[in-house]
Amino acid sequence: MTAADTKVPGAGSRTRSGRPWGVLTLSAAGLLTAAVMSSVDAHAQWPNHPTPGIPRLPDGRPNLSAPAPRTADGKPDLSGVWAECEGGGTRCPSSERHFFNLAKDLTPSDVQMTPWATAIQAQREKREHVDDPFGYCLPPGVPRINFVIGGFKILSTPQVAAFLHETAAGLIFRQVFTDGRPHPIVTEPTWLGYSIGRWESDTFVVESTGFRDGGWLDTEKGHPHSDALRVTERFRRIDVGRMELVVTIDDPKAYVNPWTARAMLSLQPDTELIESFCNNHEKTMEHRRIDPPPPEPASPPLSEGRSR
Amino acid sequence: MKQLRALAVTASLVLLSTAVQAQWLNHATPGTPRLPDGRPDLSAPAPRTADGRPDLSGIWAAECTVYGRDACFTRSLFFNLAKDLKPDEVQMTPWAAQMQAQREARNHVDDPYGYCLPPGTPRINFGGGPFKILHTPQVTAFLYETLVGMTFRQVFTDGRPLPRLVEPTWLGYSVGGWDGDTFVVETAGFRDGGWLDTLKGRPHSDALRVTERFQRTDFGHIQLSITIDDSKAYLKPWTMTAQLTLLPDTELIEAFCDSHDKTMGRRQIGTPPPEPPSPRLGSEGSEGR
Repeated sequence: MTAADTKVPGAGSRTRSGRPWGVLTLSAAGLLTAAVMSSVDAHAQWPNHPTPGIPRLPDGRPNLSAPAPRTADGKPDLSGVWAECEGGGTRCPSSERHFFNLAKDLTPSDVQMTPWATAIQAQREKREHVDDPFGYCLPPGVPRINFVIGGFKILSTPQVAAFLHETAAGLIFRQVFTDGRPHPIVTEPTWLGYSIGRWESDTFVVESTGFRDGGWLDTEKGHPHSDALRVTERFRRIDVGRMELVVTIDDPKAYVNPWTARAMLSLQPDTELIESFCNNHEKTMEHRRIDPPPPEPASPPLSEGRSR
Repeated sequence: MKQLRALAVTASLVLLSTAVQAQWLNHATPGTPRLPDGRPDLSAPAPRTADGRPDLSGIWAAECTVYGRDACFTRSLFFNLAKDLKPDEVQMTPWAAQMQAQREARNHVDDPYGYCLPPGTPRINFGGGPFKILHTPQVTAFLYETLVGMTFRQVFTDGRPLPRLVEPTWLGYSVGGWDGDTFVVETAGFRDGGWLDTLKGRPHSDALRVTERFQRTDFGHIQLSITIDDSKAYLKPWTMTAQLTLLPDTELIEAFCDSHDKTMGRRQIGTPPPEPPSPRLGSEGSEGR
């Protein structure tokens, strides 16, 4: 996996006064370009090692359309390195990536924001995305972390599934507890939330709560979420090479109704996650700053938004 | 005084990161043997996996390495990886000695761990939070709660060799196997610039090879020995040992590096002179090997 592929010609030389067409896309692309370019030197190229256990065609290539494997207990085996688009996004235009716009396949009426969220999104766009916490060595948040270009690996164990993410801000893991525990009452919210998982037939369903205000659901749109966010991720492995991921955003402080995005992930065979850490990227971001950011207002009490 | 300076670096780092730490409700760890009063029985026999190997699963920390607001942290392996060794067991090459002197002279403000970068291997085992070990058939995952993020290492156990590395990293490339009941992890592929510990600022080079040997002696304890073999930085390999204690009925909690680089920037004395790259093997560093 490499991340050196989102370089956007001209993004670095764009000036604020000369903002032409496609400002949003270019701004988001510029952020990403800066994020990715500065982390390139921290990336490593491991020699590729054939992933054990993958069914092969006669010529040795992975048979990506073979049936999905199952674990000893009969559940689908989600193991592997996954990413949206072939090559972790390298052959995928940004317009097709949920990383940039989680609601890219939805109509505006599907994703109606509350006034609080509308104001925050407008501020993020007006400030050319320079306040994205992902640009400052902080994690991209859930569910955006599933759509970063590095991809992620799923490791299943009896009591927890580990999601290992290669992001431009570092190697980051999430734990999804599968031991039957309930969601805790979270007193200190986090970027990645608290996740518990269960099986519904052949679909692995992950429910996450305990988020903090200030997260970005996506990069170009800067869709906000609040501390009331509840994310449901439904992972269904269709065959060896493909996994459907259906994400539901339920955040009554930020959105009038819950909404659902559908993505297709591709297995990345015969490769590995590679090290990437946030190497002084915050300095790059400081250069891009227009002026000190006004703080985003805290999310309102739940009664002011839609009741759940 | 040096100890106080290093403590200040660590303290400011930790104070900032507490803002993003979260307290999860404690949840009883399943599968833990219990005493009659319900407390975990840490001296029960070490568990084994279905294949008969010792099961290293659990959350672990060495003495004093989980950050707390007391002096214990300053006596930890995080501060001094060779704290139980004699000076002549850890003899540096001239290149390494010069670099260590620079790090101390500059009050430890150049420690990459202070700038949202990972603490490196093996320091990450003692880096301020506990870590969890997860076994799967082809890889054992180490999940670390560090002060700069929730970071993982993969230890491949599918029999692959250590690759010839093209681009070195902070955490290296790790393969693992069993030597009797001891899980042995070999790691190579490091970059120059890493710090083996925090108070001492012991350097390593890109020639570093780390061997970690994990032996679970009972339910509550792992004996960990670490060998540092780095012919560019040390005249001979050296080995330290630590006891890891199981932390039952708790969980890793989220911590990320939230603008700590700015604090570090204010503490900088001046622009840091670049540390010289490690010499080529076969020249200075191999003297005495």
